[in-house]
Amino acid sequence: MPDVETSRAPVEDTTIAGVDWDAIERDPAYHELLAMRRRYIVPAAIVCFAAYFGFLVLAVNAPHALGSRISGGFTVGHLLMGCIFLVVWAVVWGYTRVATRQWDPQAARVIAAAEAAGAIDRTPESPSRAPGVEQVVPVGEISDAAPTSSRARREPAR
Amino acid sequence: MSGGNGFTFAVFAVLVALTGWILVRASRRVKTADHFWAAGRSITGTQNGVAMTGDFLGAATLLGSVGLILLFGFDGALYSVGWLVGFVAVLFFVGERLRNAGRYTISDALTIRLGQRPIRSVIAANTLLISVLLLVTQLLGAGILLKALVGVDYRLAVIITAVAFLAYVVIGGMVSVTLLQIVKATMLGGITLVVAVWVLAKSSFDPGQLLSRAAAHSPDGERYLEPGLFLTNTVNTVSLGIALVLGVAGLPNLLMRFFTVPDKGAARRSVGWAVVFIGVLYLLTFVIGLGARGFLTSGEVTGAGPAGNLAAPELVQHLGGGAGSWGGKLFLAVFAAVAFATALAYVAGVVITAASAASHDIYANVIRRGEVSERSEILVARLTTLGIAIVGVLLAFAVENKNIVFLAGFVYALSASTNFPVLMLALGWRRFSTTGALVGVATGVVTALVLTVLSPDVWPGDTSPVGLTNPAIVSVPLAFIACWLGSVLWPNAGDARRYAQLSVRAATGLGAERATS
Repeated sequence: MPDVETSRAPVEDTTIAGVDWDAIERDPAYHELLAMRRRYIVPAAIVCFAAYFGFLVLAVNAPHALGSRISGGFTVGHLLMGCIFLVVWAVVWGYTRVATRQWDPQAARVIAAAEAAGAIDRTPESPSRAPGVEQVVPVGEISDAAPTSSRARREPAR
Repeated sequence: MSGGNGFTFAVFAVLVALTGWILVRASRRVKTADHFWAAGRSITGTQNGVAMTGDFLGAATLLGSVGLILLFGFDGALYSVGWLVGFVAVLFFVGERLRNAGRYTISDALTIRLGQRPIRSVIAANTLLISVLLLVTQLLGAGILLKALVGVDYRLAVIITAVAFLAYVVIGGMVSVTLLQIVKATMLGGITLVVAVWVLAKSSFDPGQLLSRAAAHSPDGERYLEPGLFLTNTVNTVSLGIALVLGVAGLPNLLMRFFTVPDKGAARRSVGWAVVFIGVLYLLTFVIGLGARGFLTSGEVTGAGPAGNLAAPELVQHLGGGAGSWGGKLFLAVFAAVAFATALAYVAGVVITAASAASHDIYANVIRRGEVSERSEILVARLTTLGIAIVGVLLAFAVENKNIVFLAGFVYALSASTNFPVLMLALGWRRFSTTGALVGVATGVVTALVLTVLSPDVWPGDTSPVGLTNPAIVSVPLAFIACWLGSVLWPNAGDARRYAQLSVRAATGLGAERATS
């Protein structure tokens, strides 16, 4: 059995101290990020769920209509089911696209603004204890991984 | 269906050698808790999409959906469609936000704003309940499958499966579970593709012709091609749909996958790939189910069993040349090995989730209040894995020869009525309080449980007190109402104050856990 490193780092509270979360929450850029998310998610979720549940209700209440043949044994019902697959694939593709192109840059702007405004407290004298801050820098990058021992500076356990 | 043969032995030997090699490789990389629980967050989005496909598709799910299509045609496909739509709920409402805020478990994210010990205790207990139910259904499926295809005794088959998943989880943690899921999903995809293409080739690559042939061989004739053979009640169908869609978004073994990737972009790419792979696999199972209906002889259809669970192996054997033929035996042996790997990887994923709830949440954070080393957290994880395996095996023995089909619907309803409302409200409602979450989870569990016991599938009498076959349409709204009521009656200023931290971290990824290897 492989040995696990004798790390004495306690597994504790997951909150991060040293960041003024309320200040970030008041930032209009942050509001814009949430609004951007809502502008895609709300209509896409409505379309997708309405299509699925509408299809279910139709299937139960109009089975013979869905049984109308199109080609061979391929029916209207099969066509509609295929459309649900296409709707799912389309909204998932749309989400990953809009999230990568619009939300990620906006999130980076929010973090940069917070750093500029001093909402994120860098503590140079104890760098190993403030990775919650270090982790900010390479938004969306994983190239320079932090050592495992460096945990975020935690608030005392509640 | 015939029992074991020389091919079976050879194919299983190859499988054991391959997975054993993975295990040895993986074990070298497990050094810290980040490795054990989250594979060092070093799994790429594409790899995780494949692993997520493996985590989601159990042997029972796959064999079950082929069987449902054999028996019910059109309606048999509706489960699969619901699960696929569920991934939209995962991506939109949970996915990257959970990845941004969490570390190893759902509770790690929730307790950023809600009370540490009560939330961890209740969410972990609920995760254990869901995991054990999933484990039992899959062990039962693996036992029946090995008994039918390889000829080993049911109890021996269950124990073999349990020993195998124990080895994976205990030695290699999430690293080996992830690699196992990838190998399994690839093998599963491969064999499903070959069988489906074969069936299509026999139908001149014309789905219309395949469907006509299936209908011609179905006792239901034309009605095989339209809805109505299985789901006939609007309320019950919509309720099942809610359970499938929202249940996926609260499924702990699926959500734990999000912590194995390096960042939010990889988290959403995982879902993107998973939706493609799972969707294509479902379409292929539709073809296989129709092929089973169209090409199997009536004797072979009987051999598929009353629930049609052995329809896929019957078809594989038929395509290979029929029972007793050289090709039939070889194909059946390969199929049996893939199905075993499918069940094995699925239970490994479920068990590591259960172990994370027991060890990381309950032992390390509730009992020891976080004053514990990673070494002892992982030691406890390995011990609890053993405990969970023993409980799973004993329960699987107890349910042998019992029809537990209702359990699948119940597990999804449970997940939709507990984890889903709590995650949604914790991430989206400032006044949501710890007490509100506890009241909501309790209401969700009790309502889902009581309504299931009173439902037609479980109630012993002829007329059940409740006509609803799946509780979700009642239990999910009730759970949300209970969360709201509990939060209004017992508000908590601290929970509301820390909302800013959870919502900002979830939306921006500020302070998110990073890859360690």
